[in-house]
Amino acid sequence: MADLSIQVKEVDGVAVLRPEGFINAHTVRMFEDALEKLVAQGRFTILLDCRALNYISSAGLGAIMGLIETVRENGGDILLCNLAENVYAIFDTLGFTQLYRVFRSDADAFEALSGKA
Amino acid sequence: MEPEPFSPFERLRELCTRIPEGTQELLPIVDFLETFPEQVTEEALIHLVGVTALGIAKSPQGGLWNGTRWLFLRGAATPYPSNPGQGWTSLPWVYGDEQYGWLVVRTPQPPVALTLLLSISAPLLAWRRLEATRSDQNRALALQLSRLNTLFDLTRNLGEVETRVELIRLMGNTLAGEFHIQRLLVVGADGTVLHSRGLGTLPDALTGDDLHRIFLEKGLIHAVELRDQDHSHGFAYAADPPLGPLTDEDELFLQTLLNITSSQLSALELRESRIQAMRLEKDLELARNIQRRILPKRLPEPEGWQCAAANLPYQAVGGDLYDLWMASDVDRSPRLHLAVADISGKGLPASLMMTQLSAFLRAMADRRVEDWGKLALRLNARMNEVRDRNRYATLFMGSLNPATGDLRYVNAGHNPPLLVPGDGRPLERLMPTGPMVGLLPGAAFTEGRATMRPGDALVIFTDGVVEAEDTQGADLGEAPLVECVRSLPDATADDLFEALLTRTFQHMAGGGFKDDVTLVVVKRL
Repeated sequence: MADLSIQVKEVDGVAVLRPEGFINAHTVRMFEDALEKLVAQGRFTILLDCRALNYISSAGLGAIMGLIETVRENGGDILLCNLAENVYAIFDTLGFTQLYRVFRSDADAFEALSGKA
Repeated sequence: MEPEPFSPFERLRELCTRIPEGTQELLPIVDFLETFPEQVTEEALIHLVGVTALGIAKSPQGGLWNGTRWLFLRGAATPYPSNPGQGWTSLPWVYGDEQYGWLVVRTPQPPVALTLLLSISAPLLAWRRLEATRSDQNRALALQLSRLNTLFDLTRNLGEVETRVELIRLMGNTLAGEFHIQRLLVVGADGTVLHSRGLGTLPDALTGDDLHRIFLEKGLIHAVELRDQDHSHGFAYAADPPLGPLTDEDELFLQTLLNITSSQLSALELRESRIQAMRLEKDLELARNIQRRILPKRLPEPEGWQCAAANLPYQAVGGDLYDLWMASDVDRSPRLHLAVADISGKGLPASLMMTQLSAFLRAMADRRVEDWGKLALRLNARMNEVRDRNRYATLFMGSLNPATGDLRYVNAGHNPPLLVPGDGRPLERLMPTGPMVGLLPGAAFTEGRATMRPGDALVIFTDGVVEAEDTQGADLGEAPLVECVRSLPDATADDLFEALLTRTFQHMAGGGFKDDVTLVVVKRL
């Protein structure tokens, strides 16, 4: 079963990663590989567009956690936008809203990013 | 622009201003009612009560005293509500049987609105506290729920994880997500790096000093062992999680995750070894079948002769070989050919070489052999071509003429077979006539000769028999075998065979053989 597919595109120097489906024990590896690939390519500003994400497990959040230090040391960040309510709830419950910048929409995220640049 | 419709608070304020003198005191109460919903924390609500109270009292000095400390204070005030002092007023702040404290304010005559404020704000504070508790509980509940979900997700999917590294990666990520861990290192019991996050590039294995250096550099101050009842899978090291110290519930959840990981790692190991065992079992089955085909099921027994033989492999398959077969001499008269060999080592590798040796033997000695010494020479050359590493064989082989009892043989480094005469002549030991085969290219072998008379027995064996140990570790040796044969002059070959084996088992006193065991008995009637 294909629980997850991931699209990556480049928008204004930001790597926009759009996971579609479920990030769970079964698929977290694919998600982590996609993130690691971006970091290996030196793309340190990553926006996770979660509009099509139905679920993210703590292992999925752990995958973000394992890279955040590298990304921020290189002047980048991992931002999130368009979280569905249940995904936001998981995010908030595990305290990730205090660790990461979460935006209502990609427009908001890009606005915040351009303000920083 | 339409005029703003009046809010109920506006309406109230308007009413207050129309009521005669003094009731403007109610205005701060209205403001309070309008703004309290915006005070989301208890502190903010208390602050609002404090400033409103001072506003109503038109006093710059006062505060809310809870019996031990000031919840709110402007200027200086004395914390003695029962005796506030000249020009001061104190009022209780109570809801039901819950007293939140006292309002102590510098005013000689407290306005009515002050009492009203306290009686309105006390239940609001109670409600705010309840709300906070409930949202804490909700948060805790949500966390528990999400953790249950995590465990459920893991246990449902762990069975599909194929490798140790994948499993640890999944668990590492789960830990990192649940506890906000950015730096994590998992090292196997042998020092292999199984998983690392946020630590840069690491070597494949880490031990002692290197490990210690990384702990210091990266601040890995927490260590937990991944272990099962009986063995350790390794250790996980982590930096301080930004969440601060773990609560009891965190600890419990962490332990649960670790337990699941450990037991799953053991399950993986078990799965691995079962697959290996199955593979090995297949190989062994194959080898057993080959050996069964090689070792003769029915022994040839020329007129006036009896034979008995068996081989007990120490493992499922062995490196011992015996073979007895009839061959035609040049004059078409029958010859009994026999061979016993012991390949160095045990188990599958030895059995493979035994198979080859057996094939060479049958190919080279399926008819009259002119000179067993020369045959050994050729066999040695062939074995040197095919052997792997330092595998060699001791070998006794020869040919009996059933009509005359003449025995021509070669003994390539094998335990001397025992020719035990039936008429009391001295024992004959058929000593080596050359070295082991497959050991020295170009070694020399000669042919030995002996004669078996009626009543004589020939006992050929591998060292597994004479090196059978008793409980003290003493070898059986040859003497008991000779005695055993001498004590049974009229026994058949089968009886002798059984007696010899029984004697050996008696010596071992319940212990087992430590090597492949082969025993061949040939008796001339």
